[in-house]
Amino acid sequence: MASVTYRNVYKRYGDVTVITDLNMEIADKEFVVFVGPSGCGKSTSLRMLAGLEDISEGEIFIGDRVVNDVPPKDRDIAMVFQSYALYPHMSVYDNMAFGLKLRKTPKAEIDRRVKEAATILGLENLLDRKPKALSGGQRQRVAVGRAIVREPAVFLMDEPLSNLDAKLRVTARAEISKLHQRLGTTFIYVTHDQVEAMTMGDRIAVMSDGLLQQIDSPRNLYNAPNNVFVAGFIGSPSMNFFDAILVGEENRLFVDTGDFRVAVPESRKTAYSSHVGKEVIFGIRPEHVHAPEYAPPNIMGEPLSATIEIVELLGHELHLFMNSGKFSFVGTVDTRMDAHAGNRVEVLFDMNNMHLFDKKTELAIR
Amino acid sequence: MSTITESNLKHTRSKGIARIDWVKVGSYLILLVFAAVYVGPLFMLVNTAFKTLPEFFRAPTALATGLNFQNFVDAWRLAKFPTYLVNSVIYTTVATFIYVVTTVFVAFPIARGYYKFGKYILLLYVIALFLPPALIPQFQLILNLGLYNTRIGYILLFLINPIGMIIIVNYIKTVPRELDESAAMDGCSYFRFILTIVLPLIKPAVATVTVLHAIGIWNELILPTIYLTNDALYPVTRGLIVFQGVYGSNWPALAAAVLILMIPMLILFMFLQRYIIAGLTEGAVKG
Repeated sequence: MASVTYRNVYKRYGDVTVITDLNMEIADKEFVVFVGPSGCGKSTSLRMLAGLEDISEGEIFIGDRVVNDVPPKDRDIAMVFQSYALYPHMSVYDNMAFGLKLRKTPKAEIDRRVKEAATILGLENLLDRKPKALSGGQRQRVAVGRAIVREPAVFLMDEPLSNLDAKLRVTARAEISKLHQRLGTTFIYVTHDQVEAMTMGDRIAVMSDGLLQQIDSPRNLYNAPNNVFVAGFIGSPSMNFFDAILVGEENRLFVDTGDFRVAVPESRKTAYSSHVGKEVIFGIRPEHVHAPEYAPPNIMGEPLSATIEIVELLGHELHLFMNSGKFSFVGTVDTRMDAHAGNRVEVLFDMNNMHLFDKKTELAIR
Repeated sequence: MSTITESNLKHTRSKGIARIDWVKVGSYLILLVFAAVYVGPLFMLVNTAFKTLPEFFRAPTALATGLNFQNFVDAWRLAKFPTYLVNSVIYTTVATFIYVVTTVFVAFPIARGYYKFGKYILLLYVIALFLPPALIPQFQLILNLGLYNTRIGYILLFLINPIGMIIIVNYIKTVPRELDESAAMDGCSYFRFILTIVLPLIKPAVATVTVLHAIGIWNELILPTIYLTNDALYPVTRGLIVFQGVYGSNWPALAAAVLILMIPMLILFMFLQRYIIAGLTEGAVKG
């Protein structure tokens, strides 16, 4: 059991800096997910912690110990790789026992731990099989089992579910969450899938271009993103953005896109007042775009008329791809709405859930 | 529907009989010639091995009239097989073992790019493949090292072979890199990793290289003639020379000796062949 700290960590390959000044504190027993698009540095951050990549500058702590120069095997960590990295010529049992054998763990103890892990993961009947004879899901569980038997202080997982089909991924996701609750160990999980991040993490670290954009609880990331990147990355379909100017008129504030103009709620006035007359980015999530007849009560609905370009019915929700003239945007509206491509409709923006960002810095205005 | 199919079938059948596929006939004839070229000498060898010497001189190409095993007994005795066979086994196993193990240890970091100029080192091996054998400097080297006419000196000659390095480097590239990392996290040392993880995974390549190298050493005739003068150190191939006389050679005994000589390598090949086929074809389809 241990906490993990990144302190002013940099990673450079020659002249290229791939991680810039990473600072993060991960508490003991916490489940933190590193998420971001390909090449954002999330895997590199994890691999530096694992000892598979050198740290160019800064320090990484596991517990109170600086591990910069500690070899991977002595860091008291276990890692689940994206490709599982099972030894193809060894049985499931031997794959799981290999690390313990190298540590000269007594045979009886190895047997106990492997069998216990196999029971947790439902692998009891597969212990004699070679990885080749396992399905993708089973292989993934063996890879997790191999980490469990080590009883490490920190679990590292590098996109462990990306090779599974969509259905299996959902169950495997739940299994990993359960495992975290059961083991009560620090988990650090890397993924590019925001659904995995949102559903599994106690906290999520959103990364982009080697920079930590925000680390927070899933709820806070969704409700109060720090910047345009986080706002766009979290949520599906992603947030709609409109370049606009914040206008003050008759003691009220309006977001004016040139295409349409919507009023800002009273409650945000103080926070936004410093940006009156300035260029801003107005953001609204698709789920906060409503069809007027089915809009929930008590929202501050600002009307806007738009032309429907594409209608996507997902069963439980209806995505409308609309065009207001200058801007295209998406709305997730009530499935009962009678929507057809080409129709001109009126929709409501729930302005109580609006987001506003500075155009230059792309930071949230609060 | 069924009648139509029936008539169609008949139609095609009659068409098939009427036309002879001359391209196919031609290609089979060519293949037959090739088969004869390959199998012919082998057949002659076996045939000769079972003939008596007078029978051979009467009609060298005629079929043997009976199974004369005396040639094998003579060959075994005259070519000093008991002694030379032991020598050959020592040279072949020791040199092949050291060669394969060292090659794997050198090939792994080259394949992974774990040292800076690995790529260029591999290039040197490729270049070496095309260079003519450097007999004179090699001879000088062995002589100056005081290893002329010694077992160690002779084994030393077989510890480098670029083709094996190239095969193994390319095969190691198909072993996923994550296994290195996983083993590093498990606390596996480099030597242990190579021996317990890499070697079993590159069995096909190792088998291929082992057979190629072992056959090369086993059948070598020029090098023992140059580097060994002590009768007690001769490999089995060197023993074959006794059948070559100034006034005439004992061809049936020589043929029998050659057949005996082939057996160990044939057994080795049979043991390893299932890996070899995989080793030569695998990697072709892996991305």
